[in-house]
Amino acid sequence: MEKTVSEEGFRLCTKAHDEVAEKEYADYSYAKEIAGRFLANKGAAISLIIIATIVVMAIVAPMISPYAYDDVQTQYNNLPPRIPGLEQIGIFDGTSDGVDLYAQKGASDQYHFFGTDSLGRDIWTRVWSGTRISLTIALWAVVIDVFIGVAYGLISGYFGGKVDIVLQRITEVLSSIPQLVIVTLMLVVMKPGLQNIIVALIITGWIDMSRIVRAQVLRLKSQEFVLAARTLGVSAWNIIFREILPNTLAQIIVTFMFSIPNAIFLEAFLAFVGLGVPAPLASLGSMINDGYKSAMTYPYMVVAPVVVLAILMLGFNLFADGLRDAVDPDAQ
Amino acid sequence: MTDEDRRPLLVVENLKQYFPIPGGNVVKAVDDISFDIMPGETFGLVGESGSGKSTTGRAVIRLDDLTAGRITFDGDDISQKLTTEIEQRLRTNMAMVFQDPMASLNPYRKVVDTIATGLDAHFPRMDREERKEKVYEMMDRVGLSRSQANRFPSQFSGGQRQRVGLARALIMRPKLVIADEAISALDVSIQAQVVNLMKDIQDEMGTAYLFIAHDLSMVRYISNRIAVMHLGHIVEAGLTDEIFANPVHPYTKSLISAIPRFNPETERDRKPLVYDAKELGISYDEGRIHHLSDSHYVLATDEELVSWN
Amino acid sequence: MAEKECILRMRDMAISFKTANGLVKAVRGTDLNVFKGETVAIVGESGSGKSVTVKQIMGIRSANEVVESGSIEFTYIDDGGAKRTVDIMKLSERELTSLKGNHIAMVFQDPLTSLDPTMNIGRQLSESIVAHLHLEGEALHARCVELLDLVGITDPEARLRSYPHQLSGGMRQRVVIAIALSCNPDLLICDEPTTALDVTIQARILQLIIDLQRRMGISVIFITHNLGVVAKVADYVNVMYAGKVIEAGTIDDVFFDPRHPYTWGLLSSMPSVSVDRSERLYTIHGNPPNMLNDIVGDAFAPRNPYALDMDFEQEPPRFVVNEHHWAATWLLDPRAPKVEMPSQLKGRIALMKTEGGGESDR
Repeated sequence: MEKTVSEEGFRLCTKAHDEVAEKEYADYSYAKEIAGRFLANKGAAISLIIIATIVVMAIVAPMISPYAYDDVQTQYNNLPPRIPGLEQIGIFDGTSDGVDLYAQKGASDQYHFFGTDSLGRDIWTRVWSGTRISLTIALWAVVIDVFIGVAYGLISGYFGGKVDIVLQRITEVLSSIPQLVIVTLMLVVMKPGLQNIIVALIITGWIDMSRIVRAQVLRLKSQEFVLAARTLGVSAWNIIFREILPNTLAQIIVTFMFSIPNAIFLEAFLAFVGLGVPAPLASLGSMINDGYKSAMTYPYMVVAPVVVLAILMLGFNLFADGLRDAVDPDAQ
Repeated sequence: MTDEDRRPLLVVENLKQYFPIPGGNVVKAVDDISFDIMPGETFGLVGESGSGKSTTGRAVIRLDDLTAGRITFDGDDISQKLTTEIEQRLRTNMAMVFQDPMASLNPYRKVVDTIATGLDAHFPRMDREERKEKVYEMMDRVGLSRSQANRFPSQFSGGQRQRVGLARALIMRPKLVIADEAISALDVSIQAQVVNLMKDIQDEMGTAYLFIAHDLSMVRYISNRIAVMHLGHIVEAGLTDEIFANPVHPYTKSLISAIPRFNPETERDRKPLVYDAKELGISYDEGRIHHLSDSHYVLATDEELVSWN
Repeated sequence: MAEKECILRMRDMAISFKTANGLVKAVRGTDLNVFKGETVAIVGESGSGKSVTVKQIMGIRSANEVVESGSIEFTYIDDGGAKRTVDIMKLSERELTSLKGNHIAMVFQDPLTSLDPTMNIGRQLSESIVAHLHLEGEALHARCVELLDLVGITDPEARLRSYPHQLSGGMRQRVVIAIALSCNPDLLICDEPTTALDVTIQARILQLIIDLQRRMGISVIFITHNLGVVAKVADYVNVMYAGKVIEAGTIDDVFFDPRHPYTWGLLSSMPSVSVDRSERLYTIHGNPPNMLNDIVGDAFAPRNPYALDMDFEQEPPRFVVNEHHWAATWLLDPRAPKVEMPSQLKGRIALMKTEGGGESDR
């Protein structure tokens, strides 16, 4: 690789070589790095697909279904699942023990992908509108909890001293009572309804977030860039919002993602014990509650909502896991 | 140079910083020190870990409350709880540059916003253009290219980040800048850059520096006067040349001896002086300040002073 | 020096790291020679690749590390008394493990993280001895005490029962050195062993390493960014910049007759106690290059006030100054204009030559 070297090459370079230095260190993208790590994690990538699919189904499926979630048609009750296409192969063909129940009830022109329940309502439609309700409840509860928890944690952590002591004692007392007990009691008093369920979930859901945020604030408080802001006379509130909050966002988002499956499950549990959304509304939990009583005879009534619930929670958990690992790889 | 009419910019008298630790004991991080800094001078505070030098810096800029003692800055007594006025003057006339180039800048804020921190805090309604101009001016001065203003700290090298920290500190034109190990975490050739920069800025703006460090050779280069700290006490202080030409306290001697020299011929066999306070029977609490000249003083008992000379 | 036996020969080491932002070429073709009984210093600043280069000798690699090329020939006497030469880059995990501790040992920068906080000193010291020398009971205990004594720890019996957090930084580093030397290695690698310590302790640990080396006849590779440390410990110096060694020679070669502009800059930017305070510190302009980008020509060119046009186009080969000194700079090409080192540095070197012996210690 010997290049013939010309005589001119040996002059002292006179051009200003400052500009070369400029290109250095640019083009570093923090967001790209996180996205890269996240997508490299197979579980996380799959979870993205799962969540997207379920959310799309929850929105679209009830809209395009020929049945409404509250269409009561008792003459068509307890029909097993019947899916066009698959019925040719012999599964999901609307028969039970060899008997074609659809023909029996005069519903040969109907297709119920997940079958019908004891009141003849289409389970497929109910599952997806139920998912909608479950997600709505969970999102509302978690979003409001995030606001409360973050504010609580920021104040408690940054101001410290007596403020911190008082606020922490409150959380300790609240968290020592089992969340299920509080929520159940509240609903017994308030009577179940969409809004009341959300309120009940909010009551204790913020505690974890406030603890995590407070821990972050305590760590960040002594960081040099926060000290620098203090020495320059930046007010406490500006320090909290401009210096500390952005540095806790990653943790907040991860905790937020983990809180969603918690809320979904909590709501499902409440519904299961009879404190869920009132009929004719359906949530995944209330459908499980309705369906489990006949689980032996008509298993499809309980399997569908259970499977969807399980996949939904798995999806969010994997997503949150992947996000946490992407944001903080050393914590593995 | 008529220094007599100029009053000191900073006066620290009998400063004590004690911190309680679990178990009921106290850590006496700073145990009765006094010194002053004149306007426009560089005062070097040297010591190893546990000497109390950083604690002193934090006390002076009032990041911490004082256990005891008095600090007067530009005529204001800043020892007690600060009134709004005094705090305002303190925060605009005194600033600090920190050690860790990684941790001293908010990773989520653009450099232009970080440098303008002081401006935003005290002039929140400043016109956007004016703010930008002031930041650019500062960036020019510290040797950063204006094209980098909208970048984030992760896109800069360590030396460049320290320049950002310096710009942030200087934008309010403070009278005193405390450099708390501001160059310790940098590569040697970059240290030289930043130190030269600080000297230039001092020539232009007349800023005084409290230069806290453990590297005596760099401190020697930049400081007019030096104080040597050990275990919370100032054991010796004086003009830089005096301290190096005629160190009296054995600890100062060991510190100077520990500086690596660059001559391989002499360095290989040179054995640095060892300092053992216990062996020498030195107890700082018993000593008092002895003035050896106008500027040079030592902490010692009368007997010790005799034996060291 | 030519008669001395070469115990380690590293050739053409090139290591890259896969990051989310691209491939970082941290080491770009490094050679290294270590002779028996000598201390070889590797000097460089951040991003020079010195740590990564040397970790290859111990087989320490990160998950995202890619070995592009390189061989490390290590010569030693095995258990049977026969002389063997192996390529460390080609050894299996097991073979490398038996080599480590026994023949090659390493001391890292931070003594706090080098020691296990849950085990007392005695146990940590014993682990290595048991694994390689198979001593037990009385003999093991005696050896442990002997080692602590060797590194200058007073009251060794008591110290064996202490835990790392009960010791000062300097003492911990002494323990780390003791563990490294416990099995009489042929080669000791020190990666900035004193940087995290207080100045006064630094000097003593350095002295310890020198004394041990002379006493035990081991070879030492010493990584540092501080030229004062190099002046004290090194027989041979390699100056690294941006992943390559750009100048190498004996300590006298590099300190009294440096040829590469980066070496000039490095030597000039360290304030010396013997130099006039009012003189402005010479600095190297700019910042080290971002190793994500491909480097064309001499990596130091953008910061080199003596750069030739050639430096931006083609990487300079090694130019020999004498049998043990070379520098990779086009300035040494016979066609290049005659450029002298900065006058400030010249003055310093002249001063050093007159200082010679008898420098009064203050």
